[in-house]
Amino acid sequence: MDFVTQSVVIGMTEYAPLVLAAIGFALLYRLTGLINVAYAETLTLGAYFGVWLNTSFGLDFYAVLVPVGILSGLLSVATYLAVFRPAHRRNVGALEMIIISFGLSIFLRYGLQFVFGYPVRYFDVPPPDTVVVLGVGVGSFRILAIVSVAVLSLVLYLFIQRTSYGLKVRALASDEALAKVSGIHPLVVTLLIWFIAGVAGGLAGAFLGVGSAVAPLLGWRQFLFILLVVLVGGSWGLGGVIVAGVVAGIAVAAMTLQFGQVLYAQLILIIAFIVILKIRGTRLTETAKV
Amino acid sequence: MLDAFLTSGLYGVVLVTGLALLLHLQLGLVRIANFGVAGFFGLGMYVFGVLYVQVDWPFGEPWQFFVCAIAATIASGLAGILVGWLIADLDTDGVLVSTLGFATVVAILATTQADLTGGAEGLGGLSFPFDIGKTKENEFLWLLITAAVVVAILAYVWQVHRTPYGRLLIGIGGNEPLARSLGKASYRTKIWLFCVASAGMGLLGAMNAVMVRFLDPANIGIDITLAAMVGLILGGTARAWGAVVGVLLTVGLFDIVIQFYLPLPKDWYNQAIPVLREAVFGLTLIVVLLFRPLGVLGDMRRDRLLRKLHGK
Amino acid sequence: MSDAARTATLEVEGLRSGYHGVTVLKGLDFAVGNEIFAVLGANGAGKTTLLATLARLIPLMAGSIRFQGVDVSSVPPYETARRGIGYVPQESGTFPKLTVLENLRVGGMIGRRSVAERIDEVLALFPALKPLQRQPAGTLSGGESRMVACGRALMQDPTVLLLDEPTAGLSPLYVDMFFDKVKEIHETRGVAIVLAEQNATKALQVSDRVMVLSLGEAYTVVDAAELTTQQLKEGYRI
Repeated sequence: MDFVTQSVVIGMTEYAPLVLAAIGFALLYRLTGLINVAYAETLTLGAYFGVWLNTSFGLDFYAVLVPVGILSGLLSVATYLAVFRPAHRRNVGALEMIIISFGLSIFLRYGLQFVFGYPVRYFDVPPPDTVVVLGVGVGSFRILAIVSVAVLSLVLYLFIQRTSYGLKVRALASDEALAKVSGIHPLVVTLLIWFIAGVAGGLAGAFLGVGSAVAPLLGWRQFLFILLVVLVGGSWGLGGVIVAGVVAGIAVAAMTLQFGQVLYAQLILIIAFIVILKIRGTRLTETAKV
Repeated sequence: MLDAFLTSGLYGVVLVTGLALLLHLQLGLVRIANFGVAGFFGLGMYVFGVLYVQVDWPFGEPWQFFVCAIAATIASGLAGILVGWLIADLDTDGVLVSTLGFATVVAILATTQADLTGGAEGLGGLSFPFDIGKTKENEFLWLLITAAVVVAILAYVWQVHRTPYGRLLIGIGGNEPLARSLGKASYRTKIWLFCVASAGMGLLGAMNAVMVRFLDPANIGIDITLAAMVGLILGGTARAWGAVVGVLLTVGLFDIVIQFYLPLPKDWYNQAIPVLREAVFGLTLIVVLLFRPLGVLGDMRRDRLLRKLHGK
Repeated sequence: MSDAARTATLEVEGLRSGYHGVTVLKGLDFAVGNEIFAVLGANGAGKTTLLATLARLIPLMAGSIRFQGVDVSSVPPYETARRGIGYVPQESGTFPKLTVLENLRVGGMIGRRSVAERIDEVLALFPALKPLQRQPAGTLSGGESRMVACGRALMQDPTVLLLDEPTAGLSPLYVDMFFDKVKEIHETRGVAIVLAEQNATKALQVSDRVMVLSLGEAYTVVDAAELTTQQLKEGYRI
């Protein structure tokens, strides 16, 4: 019992930022059909924005979150305008699109290191208060992370499903040409999607960064996890992504406790998720199998 | 005899060319983006290293090298069958996650199985299968041998382009459902292709283990995959020579021309140049795919053939 | 020329357009007033291209389109939709993942009139949709989804409605119903309709004027009642 509660509490609090990141990634994936490898860098840059605002202006961690969200959202919009929009207009295929996003990811990761230097950075924050949840001590930042994930996913869900902007977003995702002739301005709506995804990624990065260190590989290290969660959970909508993320987080926490080695836990998770993808099956159109 | 630095620079070009040629079969012909090149390469490298160092072989060089290298090739080929089977019926997203996942699994195992692989500290104790004197001379000879292997790979790729098998690969890449409806076993073809290409990558990994003589998980990061991919895409994914031209223009430019012939500040070489190299590689991928998707060499021979047939 | 054409809402001059450098429409001149204007022609005559060009989905190569006296040749589709051009493409006229009601709401984003009121009007026009409101459009039958597509465009309160073969592939029962609806829409709402059709007999029954397209050129533009079988045959190249 002790083991179970421990796994659940650690898994949920430690992996909450990644669930948030997965939601943002899933939004882009479902609405634009794009697997954006450079999303990893949205996380990294969110963390760097946070450290910069925190250490240069002396803002405390909670005050940093709002500007981090906005800056990351704008960065995400900028990557769309600079790279993905031109690519889309040139009718670049799905395969090339992934490679382009991979190139962008590498470019941002190393380009920023080149410009801003190589040392690892840390948030200048007082050590978080420890809150005891079900007998397990958890840092207050992690509690905040899980609360913001819950709130943000609810807000996002309501926004997408209930508002007229949400309807525009879904209409555009469903059929671009038809959305246009129905009077939907595609650019405005697309920018909105990218902005929201960027906000989610940037905040996730800030939460990850405050929990440990801020380094250029911060986002990339989490990318495979996010990708797996979105591909496996994504076919059941945002709810599926959240469930898959939470379950994966708890599973990794439990296995880490069991083996005392986080790498084994990740190893098993990767294999399990790929097996699920494989079993769930053939995604290639089998029309030709007559 | 070449300068030691130049040898290592040329060796890098040759090695990445080999990987890019094998990637060309997957990405260029069948249009499967293998993001796990580093995984197959790394598996070969570590299988070779672990067998070479940890097993007490009853025979000496060069047999020890051959046995270990063959084992490494077979191990990577088997991994290729496994990954090929995994991705045979998946779309591009599934391919990305499976190949990237495989590379991560290899990197994780290289770290966790420390009693075999030396873990994060690394694994030493490797040597050349011959000794012709100084290290410099051995390295130069090894460069020539690796180059010979890569030329053999080029010849194989060249030949694939000219056989029905190559046209089958291109057909699957162009329209898989159609190829299947014409009775082509596209899954089996993809799995076999992954087996061959991965075995080749594993062999190159084993050869690399001999050259570096010290294995550490940092050697099998995403940068290997990136180097092969950027070379191939810059040169032209559709052409056999694309990989050669592209790798010369990318890895060759950075690891030979910039490293040795440009008067740059000394302290740049440790951190700035490698970081700049990756950033430029990333940018190259974007720019080429946006503005010249078929790379420097442009459209394919087979297009020329088609144009001739249709009289355009 | 009939009275309707003189107060033209849509004027087309020297229109050329096509895809990927291939010219499909080779210079069309016509005007549409408050009427039902049928565009007839065989497969490949350019009917779909013409409607998609009028809806501004395909860029013009030459010529101009004037809508209510204003040149809209380079106005984007979401803008012409707001100004009053409604378009129902031949296929995929609905958002498959959205429910019927949501599909209608997307159209209702244009205009100021109460959305609920407009939805009631559409449901009154197509009563078959009433029980299907919460169903995703992708699960509907061919006829039902044409109704949704048509309803979505009507929600925009258009001045001109472009209908691309609304009855292609439907059962005869639906075909008759649809042509009645087209006439009803025109008569009760005062919406000008450009109707692309292969089915000449049915189209001629409801339309005021006809343009016969032949390989991207206007073979003839006449009042529907005056079109002879001979003209039709030659236009269709039979």
